[in-house]
Amino acid sequence: MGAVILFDEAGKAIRSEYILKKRGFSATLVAPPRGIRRGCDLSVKVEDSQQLQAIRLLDSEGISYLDLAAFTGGQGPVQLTTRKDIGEFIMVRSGNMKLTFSKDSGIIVNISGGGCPDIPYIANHLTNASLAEAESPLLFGTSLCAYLLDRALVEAKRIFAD
Amino acid sequence: MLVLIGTYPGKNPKIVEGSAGLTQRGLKVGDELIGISSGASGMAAACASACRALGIEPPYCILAGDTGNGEGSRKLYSYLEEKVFGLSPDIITLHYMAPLIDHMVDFGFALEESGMNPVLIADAGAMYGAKISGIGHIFDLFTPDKGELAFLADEDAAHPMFVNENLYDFPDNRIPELAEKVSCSGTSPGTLLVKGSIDYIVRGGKVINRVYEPAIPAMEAVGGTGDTLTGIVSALIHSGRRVDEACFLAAGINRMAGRLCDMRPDTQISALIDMIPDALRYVMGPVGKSLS
Repeated sequence: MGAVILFDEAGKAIRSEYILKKRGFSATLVAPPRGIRRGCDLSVKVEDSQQLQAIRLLDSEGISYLDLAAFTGGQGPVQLTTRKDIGEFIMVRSGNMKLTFSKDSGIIVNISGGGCPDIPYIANHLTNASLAEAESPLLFGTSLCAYLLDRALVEAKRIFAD
Repeated sequence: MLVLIGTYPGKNPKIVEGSAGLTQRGLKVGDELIGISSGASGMAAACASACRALGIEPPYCILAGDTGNGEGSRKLYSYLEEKVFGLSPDIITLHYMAPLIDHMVDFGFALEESGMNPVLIADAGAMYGAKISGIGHIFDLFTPDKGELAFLADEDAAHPMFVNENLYDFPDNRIPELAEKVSCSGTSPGTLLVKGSIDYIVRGGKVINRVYEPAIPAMEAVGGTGDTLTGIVSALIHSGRRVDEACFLAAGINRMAGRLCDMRPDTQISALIDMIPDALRYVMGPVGKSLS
């Protein structure tokens, strides 16, 4: 079935998944099991046989976690991104987040959607930035909406580079 | 009293509260000046503008800075649990806040203990929190977009990030069916205003109205157009309109403001907010004489 590592901040889960995958673990972001969900939080699913090694690695990287729990099923993050042409602009959607950029200049002209408090803060940083220079939303925010916006930004950069 | 509650993109989690007014330099709440952007500041600015045009008392705002660590949101939840009913609110609109289950449930208990029956509206993070806490039915209005509707329709989803992929990219012609399913789920508010290329007003499991003109395709791309819609609908309910009637009028006013500012995908939300008084007069005629 697997185990889930629980965190007090979504940002720690996102960073942990990145580190674990980089070190060859089979790690996936999932919603915490019902009953121990606190709201807009994330956990990382690992194989049963890898849970202790995964925790040791996170300890060595200085990432604190709350607990381990059995994985009882649950949806992983949406993987799809979609694009929509709007005249001189392209809008990329990932989940509830939308990022729109100019086809000519690659300037990000608007960010819409989302409901987590860091989104307006990130939007202030990214609006009017060029795709080439735009930094990951995860440097400014730690929410699930920020994670989706990061996916939209990666896809927008790929589309503009093509 | 109309009370608006949410976070703005600032690092100081201190609560800022007071009547909201619009100035050339931004949104004034009490003695504090807050920049207008997408999120709760845009919602509050739109609401203040609509209230002024309607000739009614401005909204009372309770805002806190939050850049994502949840500190400002927690202060707002504490206010909701301990103080907000002391204001004798007629309407409470909850907006950008970290969706925290325990706090949202405590707000539900505080409402019950107060014995009050204000109109409750939720959008953005507060709507996510209400849904995952299972207390959506104590609200009167949610204002989801298409992606958020999928989240509301997916019973297991803890966030729009975890929506079942079968629900993720459904065609627009399925919106009424999904909205009706959400509306009669038993954990949903009495009314839904589903915003998109067509705005649907859903009540008691049925689509009761649609607004599709003027059509402004760029509105989907511009950050904050859903926030202004929530602000305008709050103002109209504050003026005495029924929730469903306010939704219908607000959808038309928001679209008209988009047309009047010549909205393009690179327009910023403050341009739409500037046009709300003209749009409101265009849709409603002289204040108080609705054309609906």
